Amino acid sequence: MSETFTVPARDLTKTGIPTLADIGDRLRGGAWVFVLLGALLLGLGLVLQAERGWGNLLLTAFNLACVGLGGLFLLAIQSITGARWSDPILKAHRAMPALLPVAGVLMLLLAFGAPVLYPWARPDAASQHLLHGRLGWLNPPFFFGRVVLIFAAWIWAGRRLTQQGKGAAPFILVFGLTFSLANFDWLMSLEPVWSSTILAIYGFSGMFLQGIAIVTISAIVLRRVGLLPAVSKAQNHDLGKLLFAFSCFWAYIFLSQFLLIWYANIPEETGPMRLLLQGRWMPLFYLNLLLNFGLPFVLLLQRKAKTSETVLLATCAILLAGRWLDLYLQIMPPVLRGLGPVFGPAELGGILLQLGLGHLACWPVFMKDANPAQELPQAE
Amino acid sequence: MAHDGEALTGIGVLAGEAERYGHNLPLIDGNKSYHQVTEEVFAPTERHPPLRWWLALAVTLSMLGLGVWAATQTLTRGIGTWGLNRTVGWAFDITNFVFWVGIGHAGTLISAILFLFRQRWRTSINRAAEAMTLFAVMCAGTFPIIHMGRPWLAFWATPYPNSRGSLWVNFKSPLLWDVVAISTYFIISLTFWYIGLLPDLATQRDRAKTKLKRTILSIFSLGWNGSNRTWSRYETVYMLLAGLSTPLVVSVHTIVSMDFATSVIPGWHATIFPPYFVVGAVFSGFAMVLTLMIIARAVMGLKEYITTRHLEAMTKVVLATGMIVGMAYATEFFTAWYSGNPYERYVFLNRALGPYQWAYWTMVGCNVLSPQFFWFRKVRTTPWMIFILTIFVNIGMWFERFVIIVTSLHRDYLPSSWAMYRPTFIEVAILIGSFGLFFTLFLVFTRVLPMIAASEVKGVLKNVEH
Amino acid sequence: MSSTEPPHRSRFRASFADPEQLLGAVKHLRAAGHRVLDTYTPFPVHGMDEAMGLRPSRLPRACLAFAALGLAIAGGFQIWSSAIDYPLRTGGKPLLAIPAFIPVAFELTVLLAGLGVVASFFVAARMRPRLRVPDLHPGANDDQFILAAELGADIQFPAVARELMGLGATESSLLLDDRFQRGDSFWDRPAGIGALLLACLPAFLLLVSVPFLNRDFQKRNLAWDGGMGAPLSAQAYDASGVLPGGQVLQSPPPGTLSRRSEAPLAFAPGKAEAERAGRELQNPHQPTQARFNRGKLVYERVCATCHGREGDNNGSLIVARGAFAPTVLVSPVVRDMPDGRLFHIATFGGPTKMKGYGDLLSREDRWQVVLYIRELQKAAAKPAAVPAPAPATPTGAQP
Repeated sequence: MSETFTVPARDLTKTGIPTLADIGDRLRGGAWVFVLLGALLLGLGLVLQAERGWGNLLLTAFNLACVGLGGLFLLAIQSITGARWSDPILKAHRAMPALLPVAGVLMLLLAFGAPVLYPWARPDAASQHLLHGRLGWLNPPFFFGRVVLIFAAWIWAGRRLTQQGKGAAPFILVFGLTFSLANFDWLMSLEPVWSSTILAIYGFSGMFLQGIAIVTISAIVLRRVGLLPAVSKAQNHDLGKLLFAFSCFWAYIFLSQFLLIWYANIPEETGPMRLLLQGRWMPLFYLNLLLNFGLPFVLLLQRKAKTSETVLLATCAILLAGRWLDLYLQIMPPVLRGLGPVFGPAELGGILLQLGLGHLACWPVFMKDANPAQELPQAE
Repeated sequence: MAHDGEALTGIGVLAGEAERYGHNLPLIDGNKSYHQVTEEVFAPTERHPPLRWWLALAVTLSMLGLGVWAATQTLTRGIGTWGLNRTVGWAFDITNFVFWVGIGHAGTLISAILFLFRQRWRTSINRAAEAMTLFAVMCAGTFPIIHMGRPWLAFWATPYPNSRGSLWVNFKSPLLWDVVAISTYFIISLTFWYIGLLPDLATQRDRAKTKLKRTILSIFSLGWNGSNRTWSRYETVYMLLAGLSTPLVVSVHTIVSMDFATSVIPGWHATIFPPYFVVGAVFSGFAMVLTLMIIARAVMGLKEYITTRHLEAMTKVVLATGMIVGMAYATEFFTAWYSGNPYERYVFLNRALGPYQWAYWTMVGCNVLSPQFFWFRKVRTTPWMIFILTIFVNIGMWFERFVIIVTSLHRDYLPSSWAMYRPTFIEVAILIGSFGLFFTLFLVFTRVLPMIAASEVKGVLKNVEH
Repeated sequence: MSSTEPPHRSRFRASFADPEQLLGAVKHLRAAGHRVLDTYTPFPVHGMDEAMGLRPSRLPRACLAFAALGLAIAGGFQIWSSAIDYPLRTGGKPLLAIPAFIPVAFELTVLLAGLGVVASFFVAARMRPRLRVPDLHPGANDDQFILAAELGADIQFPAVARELMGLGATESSLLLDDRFQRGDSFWDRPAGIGALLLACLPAFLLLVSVPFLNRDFQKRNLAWDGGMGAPLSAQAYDASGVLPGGQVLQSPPPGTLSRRSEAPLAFAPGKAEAERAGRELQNPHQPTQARFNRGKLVYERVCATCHGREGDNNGSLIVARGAFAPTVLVSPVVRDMPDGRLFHIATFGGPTKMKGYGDLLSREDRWQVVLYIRELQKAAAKPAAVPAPAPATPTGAQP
């Protein structure tokens, strides 16, 4: 394994370390365009078909929250295991949680669209036989109160972890409880008849995989730009191994859920799955498997591939697309209630919003993070 | 080659910081030389066993004898000698099966997964842990066989061409997946263990004093001479086997969990079962490794190889997996309520408040409460405390499988079929016998083969990054 | 092989106590033009592969090939056996139940990959059970780090030995013993390996052809049916160790009604049949005191609730609740009915409301009830011949 990269890093000693203003300007402009265009398209989507608009807003909010949580979770794990291989890229980890407040605001915006998305938020919920008994838990005030509490917990624990480097183990405990709750509340209640005990772990596997993908992209791109000088081939190799391993983990959790529901064939549980295996949803179902597992497995199997920046970037791009599709297939079938999938303004708007907000929220935090390779003290 | 083979934890890019975090602490105490390691590791295989070993063997052999007697009773007089009835068709038999398979998983995890994560501290314990895996899987494998009504027809579970139309096995059945999975797991674990043993068998052969011993070891060491051309391929094979064993160990307990999860019984059909069982297996397996290692290191004088640092690392795994298991309990409970399904809700209420609540609360107490003591460093580094707590963990994990199986079976959809289950003496004797088998095999192993992977320990002795 | 090399170069070895020193020595010797044949160490020394110029192993590719083979065999066999050769619908699953085939396919992929790569390793490293170990240097498996090299052209050993001592060698010597040549037996050469594979071929061919042997199911194959052809059935009068009473023959549970005690009644329900029963059936039982008592017992338990204790609907619950009035048993109409008809009514039920008691009362009981009803009728028909004594107590209750 040669030590030199094919694309060398820019030598910042000659040009000087750029400030937020230097690099930021062009990118920020682009990011703002994305955000505004995205919001416009999403609004258009809302007007055209309320379900798609709100569904995509939920997707956007949830995915942005997952990006933030991914960074925090990775930070916590590195701290607990005393891992040092990731020291040069920890700055990227610490920038990601900046998305949490943004995601929180977007989630709260969903209050306006809750009756469209969630059957239990509709005025006729009390008369639904399947829902009664649970309306004490699933009602808009309590639901959004929980949203506030969950985001507060994430932001507070996250701040403690990124700024002081302390509290990794408590964060993981809090994360376990709140993330499970978030998945059950925000995603599982879209189809109140359906329940799956593994849903939180499934969400976690996707979140973790996406987190590593974003960190990998950051490591490669920022190294080339010169802002993360200490990154070496070792980091790439380890990130490649993690990508491979957690892509397999995602597939394993996916199969656990799918195989068990398919096998027992209980009508209460097969509802969403049966829909996904018919009509226009079917190719998306298989595409989801391909993007999240099939292609990464094949691309990253070889040792050489795990250190090639091109292969890693391509795989991460595929994984990000796969993550979006995965969430789309979790959220939209129950929301659209029988209508087929369409890629329209709402979907595109959601994607643009994610990209734009992602940059706008994380970049300033990254640039202000002083120490380029600050290690976290080992957990006790 | 400074970064190739870089540890994922421990030795970072920034030198000098290592000492602050204690990463340059030697893995093995005592500042030993290579020859010292050879002498100390192989000594138990070359001395006659002390009296206490014979006493221990006598105890375990009598346990085994009891189990063999009880199994013979079962085979000759039928499953009627057990306490099973039509409602509760599985109880001790499958509880024991899942329990032993779960214990086996820690060995593979220590060998394979910790190897892939470059955790060098595994070298002191991986040989014993892998041996433990093999013995545990052997114990586990006895249960599906004796719980058949006609075990002499067990070969019908294999797809061989026959004259009944060539009636093939039912590949869609999780019970058949079990047959394939457990067999594969045993074969691959045995292979992996054997490959790891090759250099040490060569050392034993070189040190063999009697012709018989030398002949046997020459056959099994396959002409090993330490050649680097062989070492180079050996390392590749070892890494490939580790890479294969990792998904294998996850898949085996996943398939075991699917014995339950593919059914429609409330309390059994839960999508979380595969990862929940795997984590539970790691939990109980590590606890068993700790129990065994604490005894072994004290009795065999291996405290400098299996240090309190090794023990501490393992207790952290026990703590982490215990928390995940607790989280899984909470998730199941919440989802049962959330689903609104009265059958699901009843099963969980029955577990906590019904006639088997003593088993349920034992399980919760042992699995959720006892690992909490491992938050404290003092407990993590005190062997006798770890010993007691890990025994509780294993008791709790046995009860977890008992609770899952028996409470879900004894009261499911049709109240007119509800029944109670009570184990007979024969079933308890078979359980004791399985422990007897396990410990007998382990005792014999410690005197015949080196309990510590000497060549691997030598490789990390100086703990210097090359 | 030294015998094939034209100029015979001397081989030598050097032992070191430290792996770093060995690594340095190997690099030095290679740079100096010597050929390093191999090193012998108790554990793999990092960096030695590159120092010796070894190329990376091709075993990962073999692993992948075996894995693909395992997947193909497992997937193919499951599909063939479940959907083509003997299709059986089990558990409501489709014949081509691909999700259900994944676990076994995965396991067999791993199994074949693991065993295949280990077998390839043994073949590539020429490892097999050996009683004489080739190239075994003292201490190589203990604590010595040894190299074996071939002297470069025009270099004498003593000079090299001095260099090696300078690099930290604890021992260095020329290798003159033939024992240190590479293993030369027949089994190490291609011919030997080919012979082994050839020996496995018949077994492999046999295994593969078995499914095609005797596909005619009318002809019996050699098969052990596990004793199913001659099952151990229990004989009726055998002793039994497991059944209660110690015998195979068990009495039926209490309350069992015999289905074979008498010939079935050749009558159907209905008025016409009742009349026919009246003409054709006679009470087979003589009126004795015992039968009268039994009839009284049965009547009072079964019939009196509707018909009254005296057969005159006095005390009838049905009448008390105002449902309807049952037939008065002591009335002239019933008195004129033959016994058979009464029996028929008791068995199959009355023309309007009464249900039959054929499945609750035995035939004997029903006839005995008929006897008792006759007695009731006689008692009701008797005029009040008893001279009524002056009623001292005006009870007014019916006798």
